[in-house]
Amino acid sequence: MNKTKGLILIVEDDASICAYMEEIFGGDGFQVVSAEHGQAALDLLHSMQTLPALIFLDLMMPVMDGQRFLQEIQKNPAHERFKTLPVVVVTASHMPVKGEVVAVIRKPPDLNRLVELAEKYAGG
Amino acid sequence: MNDFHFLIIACLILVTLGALAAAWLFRRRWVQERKTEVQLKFSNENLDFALQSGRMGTWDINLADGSIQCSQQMLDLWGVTAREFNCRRSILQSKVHADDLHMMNAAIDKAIATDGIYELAFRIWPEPGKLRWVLSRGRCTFVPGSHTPEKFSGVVFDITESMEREAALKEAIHTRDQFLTIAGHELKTPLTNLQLQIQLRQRDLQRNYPQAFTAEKISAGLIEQLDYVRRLTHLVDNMLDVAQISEGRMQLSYEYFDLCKLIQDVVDRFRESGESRGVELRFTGCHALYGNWDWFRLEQVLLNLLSNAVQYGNNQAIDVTVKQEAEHVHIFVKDRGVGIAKADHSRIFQRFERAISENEASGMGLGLFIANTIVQMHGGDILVESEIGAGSEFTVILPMQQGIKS
Repeated sequence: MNKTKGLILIVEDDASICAYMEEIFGGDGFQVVSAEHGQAALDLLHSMQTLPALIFLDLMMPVMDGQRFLQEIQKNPAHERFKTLPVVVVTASHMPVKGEVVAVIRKPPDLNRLVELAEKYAGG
Repeated sequence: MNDFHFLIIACLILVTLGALAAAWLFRRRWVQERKTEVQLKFSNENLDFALQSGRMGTWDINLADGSIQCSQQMLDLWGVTAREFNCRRSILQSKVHADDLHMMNAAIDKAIATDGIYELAFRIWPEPGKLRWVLSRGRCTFVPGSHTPEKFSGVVFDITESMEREAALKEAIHTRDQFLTIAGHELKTPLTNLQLQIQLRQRDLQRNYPQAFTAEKISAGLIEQLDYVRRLTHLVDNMLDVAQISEGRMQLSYEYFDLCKLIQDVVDRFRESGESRGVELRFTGCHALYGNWDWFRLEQVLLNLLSNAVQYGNNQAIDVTVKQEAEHVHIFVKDRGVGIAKADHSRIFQRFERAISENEASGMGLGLFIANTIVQMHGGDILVESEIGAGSEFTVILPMQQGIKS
């Protein structure tokens, strides 16, 4: 396993989609952490000393959806530390995303595209 | 006869001819006037008929003193009597919706200041609690050669029905769009799982990674894939059922069977998936309950109720009980989960509705609508007893007199 690769945060409420993404990135040598919704991701980010190099974000989730999470990290001064974290939205929706993101991938996503983005932003 | 006599006779002839000509001209004019009068009356009657048929009122503002003349039709529309009205604009304006009054006055001022054309839809209160939409069209005419307003008149008619139809249509389009968004999300979740799993295994093959292809892993993967295919099938079936119900094409296929066996089958099938989530599914059993029902559709009803009980049941035990009365059978499905607020009890049986928002739980909000329709087509009913935090109990009531096979 290539230990020089960066940390990826997956924010996704479907447990099995999350597990597949962990297996995909883990198998390619990335470190992976996950959260089941936006609020859990915010809590996790606040508890981390080293921030993730890339976030894969679902939009339709319980408690705090992906759109709200994006607003929180990019607009709320309380989360200033996370403002510039690169975010890739992975969504079933065709609605425009409000906020700065490095890419929007429609579900079902292509594995190679996911890995390509992971390599670009968290490849080490 | 001398010249004098001849002159007299000629004069008499001329006077007679003149009188005859005058009489003829007078009569001709009288006939024309009568004709015009009749035509005018006929035309006015036609106009009245057209105004009445179109439920259209007329108005005419005197720009010099600000008074207004209105037809009876307009006064009726405004819910004002002629005595109350007394040519006062203020009486009419007092019945215009407060949010629209400024807009109405601004439109009149604009018409007078510019091209004279006035058209505006606004709301009025003919009587408290009864809101109507009206469309008013008018024209301001000016003194020839100047921009001095001379006359401002027009028509007004009731457009409440078309506005309500338009609002209902907009609501239906909004509901459809919302449904398509949710349906897209629900369909794409199993598709995402399938795609990622397939691509992951393709990558394992390319990388010659045999640990990914042990019998145990292949078996687990196939079970998952089958589950996703079932989920997709279920979602598509629900969409097709809703289309059938909307078009009135859903039909039941009655057969004679033991309802207890059906319930036992469904409970057994669900027990496995419930146990995998740590949910205990308890069924007290029942004795033979033979009758004519649609097996496939009732199975669908019970699967939906149990699926909801597992999804919203907080991983607590679920109880299924059956009680037979003289002419009805009651099937109870009770969970101990999140519960449903009383205010939402009737809403959850409507199309595209669910107890909590789409972000909080999966599903298209079709299951209970379809289940309720199926049970009602059997001549039965579904009842719900629930409160937030206190779990839910759904009761399916089915008539036994569906024709016990003789």
